[in-house]
Amino acid sequence: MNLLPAIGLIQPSVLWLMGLLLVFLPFVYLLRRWWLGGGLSVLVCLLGAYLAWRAIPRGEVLVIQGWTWQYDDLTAFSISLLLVATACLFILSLNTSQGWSFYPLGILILTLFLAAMAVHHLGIEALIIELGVLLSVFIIQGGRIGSTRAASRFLVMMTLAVPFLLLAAWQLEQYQTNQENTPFLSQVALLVGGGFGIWLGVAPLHGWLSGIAAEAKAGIAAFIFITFPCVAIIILLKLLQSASWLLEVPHAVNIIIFAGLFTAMVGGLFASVQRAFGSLMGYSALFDLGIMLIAVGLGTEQAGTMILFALLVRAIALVLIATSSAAFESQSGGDRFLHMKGLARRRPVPAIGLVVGGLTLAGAPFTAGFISRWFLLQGVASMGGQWPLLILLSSLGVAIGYIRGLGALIETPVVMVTVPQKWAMTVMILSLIALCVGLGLFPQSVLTMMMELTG
Amino acid sequence: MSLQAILNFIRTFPLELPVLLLFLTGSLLVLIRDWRVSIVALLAQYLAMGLVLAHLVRPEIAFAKVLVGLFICPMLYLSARQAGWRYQLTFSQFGLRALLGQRTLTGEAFPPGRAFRLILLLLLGVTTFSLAQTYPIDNLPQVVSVAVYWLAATGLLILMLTEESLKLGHGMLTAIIGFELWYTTLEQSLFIVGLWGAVNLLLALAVGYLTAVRGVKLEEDY
Repeated sequence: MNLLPAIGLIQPSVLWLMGLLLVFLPFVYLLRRWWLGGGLSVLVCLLGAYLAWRAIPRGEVLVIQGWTWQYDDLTAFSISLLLVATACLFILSLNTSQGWSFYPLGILILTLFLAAMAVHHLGIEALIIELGVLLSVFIIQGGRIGSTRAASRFLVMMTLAVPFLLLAAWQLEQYQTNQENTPFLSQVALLVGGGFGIWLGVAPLHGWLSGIAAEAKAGIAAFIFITFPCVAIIILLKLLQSASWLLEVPHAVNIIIFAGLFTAMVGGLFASVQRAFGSLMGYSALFDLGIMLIAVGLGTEQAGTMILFALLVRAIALVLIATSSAAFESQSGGDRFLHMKGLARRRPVPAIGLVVGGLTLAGAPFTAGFISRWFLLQGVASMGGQWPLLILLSSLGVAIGYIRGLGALIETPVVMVTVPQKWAMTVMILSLIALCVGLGLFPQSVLTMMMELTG
Repeated sequence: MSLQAILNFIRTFPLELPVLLLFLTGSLLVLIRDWRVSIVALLAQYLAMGLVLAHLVRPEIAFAKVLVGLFICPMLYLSARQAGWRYQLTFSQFGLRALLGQRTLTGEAFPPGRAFRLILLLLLGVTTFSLAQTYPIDNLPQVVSVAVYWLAATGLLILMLTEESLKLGHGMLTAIIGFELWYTTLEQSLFIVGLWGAVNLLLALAVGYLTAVRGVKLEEDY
């Protein structure tokens, strides 16, 4: 019997952390309609992030039912990042409700993601993430009567990815036993590419992303755009670490880079013509995802560092955009530019937050997003051709989208109901702006930490 | 009667019989929009999958798959009831014409949408047989290969043809049943079978929730 090894229960381990998150879940669920439930959720996430980063020993291997679980540096970084980002979104939800079920389901989804990142089997990872997808449907819809387009698209697309990944996992196992069977290589690469392509929302499979951006509440959309791509990228990096031969399949690297380029182009192009902050955030996130995919394709050691840095910056920027957008929505009653005319004159802090967050995702100079873009432009320039120009133009598309939004925000004011400012949101927006600019100006200490993680 | 005796009895059925049932249920799900008929078709699909799997894998795994289906269908039924889904047959309409054409303003037995779906199904059937002959699935009998391709294709077809949450659920579950017919023969770890079952149940719950919040809506154009 090797059910739950005693060591996993006594000493701090990944099971210990999962258990901790789950223990608080019933209380969060029962208190979710009151301020206390939201406050408890924030505390649980922050405590979990602290333990994930500081207390859980790395590298320890647990074997449960024959499956290996390992808590490594990448898992520690990503789960800490996700927990802190979610804590910020819970604070946002405390001030502008994002739905009562967000607190318990958010914590449960993160627990599942922790399990998915710790287990070393692509098939189980895919199934656990699918459980997270299915739970996310409830928070995306959030009890809203009527259109279910966003939740349905997300559900269908993510579910379609699972068969690809399950078959890829089986093929990988087969390859371990028979390494001379070369046709397997291209089959596995195809399945892995298909599965991750759908998971990440690579263009033209990004329908779920634009749907969520348009329909879901800003905080929920940010939660989905931060957590799912982050987990998918981390699992992809781990897979490429353990099966590096996947990148040796003919044209695999070029396909990844061109898929990333195309995704970034689609994101940039569509971002420039949006008329609402929600959908603008969605396409900016798509652009950013394309950029990260290009970095995955470059495959250098420095690329790994930049991907982690980009994940961190993406989380900060998306939380900033969601918080600023929600602060305005409570006044204007919608996220369309048309509804927000003149709001910046009364509420300058969220307006600055929206623009700084957007420019960070675009990779503008003096923001944190510029660091990874600069590295990427150098890497892509070495490939030859005009590819760096495409990235720059796509970045410009995102920047134009936010500058258009700013234009609407500073237009002549229209009559509107005045809602009192919430100091917690203002403080959070100011802190996130400081982080976006601070990391852009002084990135060295964070980059050194990222290098140690990928070391 | 012991489980072994039941299994032996089931194995006396030729494999073609449940595969034929899978063809029939897949076609019904594409053609019929009455939610009660659709749910019965889905239930029959799970039973047929169990009959096929009983020939290919350990009986308890085949039984578990059917059991999951037996939980899923009532969940979808209750959600559809709660949502007051309007695509249903009244007693007077219950007949072959109603089943095929359903209510239409012009009273045509084959409204354009229905004819389109019928032709699509025929094309899909031919494609399925061609695929199974050209790219047979290694570890499966030919007839089961055809069923796998058929279910995956009809599932995707349903997903392409509708925006209704309940119908989307039928499409996803049909495609998943097709995939399971294949994948269950490859991976028989109880942990993965259990996890897969949990995914199926939660999927039905999510579809049920979306069906319920969507509520009464305008009639879909066929």
